[in-house]
Amino acid sequence: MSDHPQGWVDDPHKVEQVMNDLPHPIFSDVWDPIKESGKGKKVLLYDIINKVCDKFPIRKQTIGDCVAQGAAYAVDAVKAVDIYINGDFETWVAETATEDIYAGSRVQIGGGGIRGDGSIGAWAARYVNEYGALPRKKYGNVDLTTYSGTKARSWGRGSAGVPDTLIKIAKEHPIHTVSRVDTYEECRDLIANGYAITIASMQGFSSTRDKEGFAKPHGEWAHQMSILGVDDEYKRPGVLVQNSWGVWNGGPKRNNQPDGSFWVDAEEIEKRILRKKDSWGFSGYEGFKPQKLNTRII
Amino acid sequence: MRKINKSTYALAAIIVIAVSSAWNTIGTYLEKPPVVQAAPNSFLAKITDEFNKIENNDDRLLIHKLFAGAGSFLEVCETLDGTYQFDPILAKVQTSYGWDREKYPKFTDAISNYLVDVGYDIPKPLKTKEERLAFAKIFKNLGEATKYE
Repeated sequence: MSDHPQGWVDDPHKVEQVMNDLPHPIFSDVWDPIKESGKGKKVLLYDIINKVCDKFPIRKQTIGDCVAQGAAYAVDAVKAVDIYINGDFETWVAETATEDIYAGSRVQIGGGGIRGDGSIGAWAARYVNEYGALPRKKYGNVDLTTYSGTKARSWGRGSAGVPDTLIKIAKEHPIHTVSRVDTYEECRDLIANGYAITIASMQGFSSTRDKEGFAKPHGEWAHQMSILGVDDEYKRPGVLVQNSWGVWNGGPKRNNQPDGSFWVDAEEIEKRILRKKDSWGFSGYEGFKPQKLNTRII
Repeated sequence: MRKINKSTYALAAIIVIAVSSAWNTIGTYLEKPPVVQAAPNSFLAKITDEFNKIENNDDRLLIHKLFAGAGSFLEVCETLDGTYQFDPILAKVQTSYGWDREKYPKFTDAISNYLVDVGYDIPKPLKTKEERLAFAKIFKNLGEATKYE
């Protein structure tokens, strides 16, 4: 098996089908209230995740479930923003699970039509919006504490899908809105306002970052990742892309970026990725209320 | 963008706790632990009862400082969003003083019973001044229940 599994399925027709069901399918239609609000700003969502969860989750996929990995990072970012920036009365339980997002996108949303590994960015976005997303922990007899590619593949096969017991819980924790993102400026303004973005395309990148932390477009990946930061104040505007291959790349870092990430130039992200039209902005998350407090405090 | 740092909170809490109870540092090392008068609330009375059984003066003083200081801190703190955020801060302050929880298990039991009685165990928001003062009052009461005469 490849050390760098991918798994994005390029199917514009199926993306269009999902968009027909969404209230705000295209972000540019609802962009006005925050338009240009991210201009000249630097906002690092990964930094906010770090502050809320103490240790940034470095994901390493073992099957072609990149679509769920990217979506889970976006959910992590949104729920961290809810807690840390928006002050929602919620608590960080754990990093977001991927198995349910992967299977749900393929089966609950996609109807089980894909053979082999893989999914579509729009399907994952639709799934977390309609069915929700769960943090890694045990749910009755279903243990999502540790990532399992095998479980993801099993649930995502044929008509299996996410177990009903999980669906019931997940539906209480949806991403509020998802909209397709088509330009760097939209990305910039979304991230600057605490939204996160999944990106999917056939574009690959160098495994060596340059002296400014950027990676050059290189090769071909059928892959979904996520954007967890924007730096529009720097002389070289760009976005921070987080991959899900563990510590797969090297080279200089900037702004204390996480392992496995790289910066991408503004024009490259738009030209090579967003134009594939399967990249999605995620808004707020319906999180978990804190449970009973410890009273043995002395 | 709001910047929150648990360590900063803990430091602030330590300072408030230290300053608010500075008066009590005078005469810290008494020959014999003074007896605290029991509060009317039965749970608080039980706390006082268990507190009076603690013979170590330093521990008695620290316990009082922690509770009274927590009450003073929470009265003025406007950066916590919910009651659930306070325990990690208290834990850090306790660690900074070298205090281990459950050192006096029966005293811990008494504190726990009181906290359950007043609903501390149910997380609540701290959005309004009323909510903050109500939460601070829990610790003010604990400070009173462990106060030297």
